[in-house]
Formats: sequence, structure tokens, C-alpha cells
Amino acid sequence: MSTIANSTGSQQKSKSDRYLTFKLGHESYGLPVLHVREIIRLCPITPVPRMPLHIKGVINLRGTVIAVLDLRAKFQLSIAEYGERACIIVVQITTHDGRKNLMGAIVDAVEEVVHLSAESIEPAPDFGGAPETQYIDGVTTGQDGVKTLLNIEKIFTDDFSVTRSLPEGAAKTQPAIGN
Amino acid sequence: MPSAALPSVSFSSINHLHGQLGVELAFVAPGGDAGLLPINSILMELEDLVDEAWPPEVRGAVASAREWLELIFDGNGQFPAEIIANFNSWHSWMAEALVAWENGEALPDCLFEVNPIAVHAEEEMPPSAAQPTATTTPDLEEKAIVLNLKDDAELLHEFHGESMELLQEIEQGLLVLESNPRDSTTINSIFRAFHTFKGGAGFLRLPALQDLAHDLESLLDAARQSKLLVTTAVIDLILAGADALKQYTNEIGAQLKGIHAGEPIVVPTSQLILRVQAVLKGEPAPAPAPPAAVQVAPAPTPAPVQIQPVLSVPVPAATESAVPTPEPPPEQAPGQEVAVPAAPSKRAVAAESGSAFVKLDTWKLDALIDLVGELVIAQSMVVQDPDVQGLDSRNLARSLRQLGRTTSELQRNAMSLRMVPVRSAFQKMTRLVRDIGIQQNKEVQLILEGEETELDRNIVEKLGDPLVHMIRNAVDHGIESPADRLAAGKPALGTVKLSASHQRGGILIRIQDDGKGLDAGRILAKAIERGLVEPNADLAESDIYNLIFMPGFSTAESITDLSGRGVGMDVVKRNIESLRGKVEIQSALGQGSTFHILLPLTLAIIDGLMVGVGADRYIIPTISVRESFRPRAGMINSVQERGELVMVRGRQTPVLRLGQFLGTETRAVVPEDGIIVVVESGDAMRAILVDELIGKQEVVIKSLGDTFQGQNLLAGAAVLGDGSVGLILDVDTIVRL
Repeated sequence: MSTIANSTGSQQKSKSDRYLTFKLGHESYGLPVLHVREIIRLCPITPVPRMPLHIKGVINLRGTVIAVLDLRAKFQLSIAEYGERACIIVVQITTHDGRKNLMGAIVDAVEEVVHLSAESIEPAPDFGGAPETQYIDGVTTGQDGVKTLLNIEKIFTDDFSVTRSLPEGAAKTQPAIGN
Repeated sequence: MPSAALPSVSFSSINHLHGQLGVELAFVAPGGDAGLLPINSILMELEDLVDEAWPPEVRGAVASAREWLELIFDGNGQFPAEIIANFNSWHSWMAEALVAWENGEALPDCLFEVNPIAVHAEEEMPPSAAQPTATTTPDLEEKAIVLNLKDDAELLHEFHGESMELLQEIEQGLLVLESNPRDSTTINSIFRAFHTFKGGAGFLRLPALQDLAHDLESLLDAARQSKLLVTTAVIDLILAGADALKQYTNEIGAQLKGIHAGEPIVVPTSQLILRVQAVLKGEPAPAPAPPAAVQVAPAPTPAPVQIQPVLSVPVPAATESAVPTPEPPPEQAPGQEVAVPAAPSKRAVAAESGSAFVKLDTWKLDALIDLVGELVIAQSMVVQDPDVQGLDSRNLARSLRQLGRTTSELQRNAMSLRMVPVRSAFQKMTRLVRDIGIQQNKEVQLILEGEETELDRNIVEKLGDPLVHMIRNAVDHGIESPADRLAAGKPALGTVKLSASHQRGGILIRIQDDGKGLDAGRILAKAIERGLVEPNADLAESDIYNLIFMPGFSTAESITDLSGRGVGMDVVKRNIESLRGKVEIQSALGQGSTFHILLPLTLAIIDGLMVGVGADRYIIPTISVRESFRPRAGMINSVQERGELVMVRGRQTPVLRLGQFLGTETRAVVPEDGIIVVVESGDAMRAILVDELIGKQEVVIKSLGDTFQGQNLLAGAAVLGDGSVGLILDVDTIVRL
């Protein structure tokens, strides 16, 4: 099993590390603790119009406006009300051009920080081409079941490009005349 | 030599840093990383103090300490036992050495291992300090410098930033000298600037820069001691030298950004150095055989003999940069100590008076402003808390009022920290006008007005490029040759006036020339020729002028290397619009043209109109709001059952039902329940139907971040008084929907 986990060099580094585990519905997930900046209580989120369903909106994190994603919607899990223990995990990710960015992810409950050795992580299973596997770094089996380890960087950087401009006609490229 | 320079060494700061290092060293443990960053930062401060007046042993010791730290940084980030031992003996040696040095006694022997590189650094430094000409090679081989980007990135970064300011200062000073060659204050400040530059270059082991700066410094030194007459030729020579240094510095900046990183940098300087040395020996300045620096425009190609360009530098500018008394704006009273680093002309002053200004990283400033904003929100949350309001305590009420006053005062002050005078952007233009004037044999003067007008730092920074384009155009296309001007009955000396003033709640920047003005007929003909407008288009004069802002438009009959390449004005307009500003043109044929740039005071704050749509709130920038009213039944007419129009001041204006458009539930079922807000951008208008007006509010604009960079419906976000986020609508997009 240990050889499988080391399939690629780049993944190896992030695999043997500490993970923050959390719940989405009944399922357990994990993301590298290195990315986690803080965990905050669920607060009122300002919805941003004309955005994909999983982008819930923006919040004010001590003066910085950050985008908040609903991981359940992102993975197309069943929709449910947020419970008492729901919270926002604030993660820091590095964009393609090297800038640091904060984003929030809504989860149903935060569990714990676990240390996982590279040997205990299996590669992402093949569900027959389900698109969400691209966000999975691997899975690990603990006492209380399977935890899915997410590639948080990929999940969030993917969303940089989902938004689109409104059609603006040719107006902006035309000179002031003729208006 | 050290003894001669003793007075300039601040032993108290060195001792202080040495003491701090001692404290940090006490926490260091083998195999740990505790203390690494503090030690690094203290060492950097120490390195900043190092100059060539220091005894070589001490400089070597500092360099050794740096080497050890680099070893740790390159390794696993943990202190090996032998380096700790080194550091400890280093520290005790330094203690003795500092005492000996201060008392002028012989330094104790080194007890630690001096790194070979440190010794190498010593070998390089002293000669340049001791003998002016020894380090310059007699042959014309150009020296290349190679940057140690890996180890010195931080230092190079600082060096780059500081050098740009120094060079700017030098340039300004030289222009002052041009009109007043005996101004000793200015000569001194230029001398000091070169000296500081040389120090930095020497520290970073950039011999080519160091040598040139050193020779230029010697030139200024001679002028300072009245051994050398500052003629136009000498000024041109120094300008050329400063340009060469600027080329190096620019290249360093580029490499720091990863462009051609690690490649050797060669700027031809040997000719320059020879010329400088010739002047120093009292020979007449030889003509610059091949131009010394040609890669960067505007290239210094002085032709000092034939033309005596009439150039008068405005007196206010001259005194500002020469006399060390810039009054900080009064409203900055508690923030006086903070000079935002975008005001380079104040730098020399800072060096002299020491405590009047503090240079600081802009991110620290931004972080402070953010925190103050948070504090204000927290304050209003406390005041509005129902539990607090339920308390009947006069003392509490008084304290809360006091808190409110202090926080809002604090906020105002924090905001003013971002504001800097436009001076820095304006003064760069003086050199530009001078160079273009000389190149084109035109006599031009630049008059600056209102340089003290304050603008948001970010705007001032981004204003530079558009200004360069427009000033170039004014001199290149606007001002005629002296002969033409005399023939037209105008004085031979052309005038370009650059002014800034407060207007309409923003800042108005005007670029006015008394040249030939825009030729509407030619512009139109060119636009038709380029297929930009229909041949039979009926355009108002102002519309024709606006054609020059179209991409790919150029009226220059001969393409010069300055302007007329068909790029420029469209970029100018885009840049200004990105600053939420506007450009307008006025022109009279034969009398000159005036460009008006209207800019907001700050990018950080806007005056917003808060509107409610369903449960959501949006902010519309007040500057774009023309009016708002409650529509009466029947005011809104539909066209082809799709579009809706409402009459606003005699003009049928398309209606946008914001709730419907954004896909939110609205409370107003019929338009009569809602409010119409009429917004405009350029000539286009739009009537936005919303549920209610909530109020007017000044808000701090925040970026929405990368997630939303693809959308153009929102201009940004703002943190509202209750801590939630409000979204700011982008009116430019909405009017064009």
C-alpha cells in the first residue's frame, strides 16, 4: 500500500501531514492543516448575485472581504439546513501568480486535527469518471470510517475562473460619440 | 581613515543592536530555530548602519554573521552548535571591538572564523573610498554586474526602492542647478544622494554602480568646494551618469521581478567615467562620442553647444526640493511623523532632520487603516448594543461619546495617511519636458501649480504614466518650433502648464499648452481614413476631439520616437477610467489645448447611496447618481413589451428593474411602490428601479477578490456599520446593459 501512496512526487509532500477533518452531512473529509488560517462561526453571508450556486457570497473577516463557498453545493451533495455546529473554515491558498488569498468554506461541523502518515493514505478511488474525484487527494480509513482528503487548493483556484462578465454590448469599446 | 569619519558613526545604535543580538542569542539552542528571525532582523538593521567609515574588521564581522545566517537559511533552518559557538564568540568580540573602536584603540584579534567571502568584501570596499580613481579601469571594457538574487533579494529590493528615490532626487536637484548653478544646498543634497547610492551599491557588491556613483560624487564634491563650475555640460554629464545608474537600477528591479533573472547586467559606463574624470582633471568636458546610454527612453543625448534651451524651473518646485522645510499638511497633525514613501522629495529632508519622517511599508499602512475600520465598527456595535442602551448611566453615556469621538477622529487620521501630495508625480515631468524640448529644438517651459494638492497614494502612483503620455503629446504635438511660434505672433518660448486643484469633490488635473491646438478637420479626416467613423458622420467638435482616445489613432505626420506611434491616448483614457476618473478636452486652433482629468480624491472611500432590493442591500456610488424619485402610475412605458422607458428631464431613459435583473424577490410589486434611481456614466443614463432608499454613507471600498474578478456587475464591496458586507454596483456596466 505504501508504494501506491507515493505515486507522484508532488503529492507525496502534502500527503504525509496533519489534516483538519470535518463533516459534510454524514461524511467525513479532511484538508491539510497548513492551509487553514482560522475557523469562525457561521455568520450572515452577503449573497453575490449571478454567481454559481456553491458560491454563497462574501463575509467580512476583520476588514477583509472574503468569498465563501458551500462545499456541499460544490460537491453536489444533498442540500440541508446548516445546523448548530456549522462553521466556516478560512483557508489560505496561493493563486497561480503567487498571491495569497483567503477564502471560506462552509462545513457542517469541524472534527479534529489528525496526523496521517503517507502509508495510511490511499489514492483517490475511481468512481467511474465522477468529476469530483479531481478534488480528492486520497482517502484514509480510520476507526470511525473513511475520510476523504481534499485538495483544497484545486477546489478554490478552480473557482477563480467560474465567474463571467455581463454582456456589455460593444459600448465599452466604442468612443463617446454616437451615444 | 575610520577615525576621520568617526563623528558620523552612531555608536549608540550599534551598541543597542549589539545588545539586542545578545538577548536573542541567549534563546538560541542547537538544532532549534528559535531566535533565527529576530537575529536576522537585528542583523539587517546592523547591516543598514554599516558604511565604509567602519573598521574593516567590524564590517567583515557583520558580513560573517550574515554568511552564517545564510547557511542556516539555506539549510534546514536550525542552528548547528558550531554556528552558535561562532555567534557567541562573535558577540563577545564585537563587544570589545566596539569599545576599542569608539575609543580609537586597536581592535582586538578575531576569535571566530572570518568567512572568506567577508574578507573578499573588505577587499573591494576600501579602495573606492580611499582613492577616487583607482578602481576605474583605464581601458574601455564595460563591467558587468551579476546579482545574487537568491541571497540578497531582500536587500536588493530595498536598494532598488531607495535608489529610485535617490535618482529622482538627483534629477530634481540637477534641474534646479540648471537655473541656479551655485545653489549650494542643492549641490550638497545631490552629493549626499550619490554618496548614499554608492554606499548601497558597495554594500551589495555592485562595483560598476559603485564606481560610477563614486566618480559622480567626486564631481559634485568638487562643485561643492567651488573647484568646479557647474556648467550646462557638467549638468548634462551628471544627468547622463544618473541615467546610467537608473538603467542599472531599473534592470535590478526587473530581475527582482524575475525578468532575465540572474543574467549579467551591462550598461555602458566607461565612456561616462572617462568624461567625468576628464572634467575632474580640469579638461573641458569631451563631447560624448557615442551616446552613453541608449537603451532607455528618454535617452540622454545632450548636444550642449548648439542650443541653449531656455528652461525655467518654477520657483516653488525649486525651493521645495532644495530647502528642507516641507510643512506637513495641517490636517495630518497626529500623523506628522509618517511620510508615506511616495513623496521622494522629502527624503533628503528626512535624512537631515532624522526624526521628522518615518518610511514605512505600505502594507503596514493598509493594515492599520483596516484595523481602524474594524475598531469603528466594533465601537458602533458596542454603542448600539441593546444591553448597553438599556443601562441608565450618565457616566457610561459620556464615556461612550468620548469613545465615539476618538474613534472617528482616529479614522479620519488613518484615512489621511493614505493621502500624499501630487508633487512626486508632477516633478518627474520637469525632466521630461526638458529632454523633449532639447531633442526637438523647441523652447518649452513647464509650470507646475498646486503640487501640494493631496491625492490617494495609489492614484498618484498610477497617474504617472498617463501624465507622461499627455505631457509628451503637449510638447511633441502641441508646442510649435520657435520659428513657427514667432511667425504666429506668439513668444518663442512655449508653455505647458500642469496644475492640480480641488473641484467637484474630487481633484482636477489640467494639462494646458499654448501650442497650435487640436485640428478638428485633420482629426476627423484621419479618423475617416482609418475607418473609425463613417465618412459622412456629423460630429460635434468635442466628439471629434474624443476620437484621439480611440485605439490606433495618431495624427503625427512624422513618427518620432516619443509620440505618434498610435499608442498612448487610448491607454491614457483607460488608465484614467480605471482610477474612476474622466478626461475632457478643450482646444482652440492656434491657441492651444487643455486636457482636464477629473479624479476622485481617493480610491479607498466613496460616497455611496444605499438601496434595498428585497432582503439585499446595494451601494450605488453617489458620484454617478443623477437623481431619484418615486414613479407615479403610468410614468413607465414599455416598448415592444420588453424594454421599459421612463421620462427623466425630457429624456426617455431605459429602466432596469434591479430585483428582477439580479433574480431576487422584490417587495415592490408595482413600480409605484419602489424608487427610481437615475444613474449616468459618460453620456449614457439608466433608471434603476429599487425597493427603497436606505441612506447615504461613506464607505471604504474593498476588493471582492479573485473569485469575482471575472464579473463586472460589482465594483467592489464595503464593510457596513453593522459589520456585514455591502456590494457596490458598477454603474459603468449597468448603464450599458
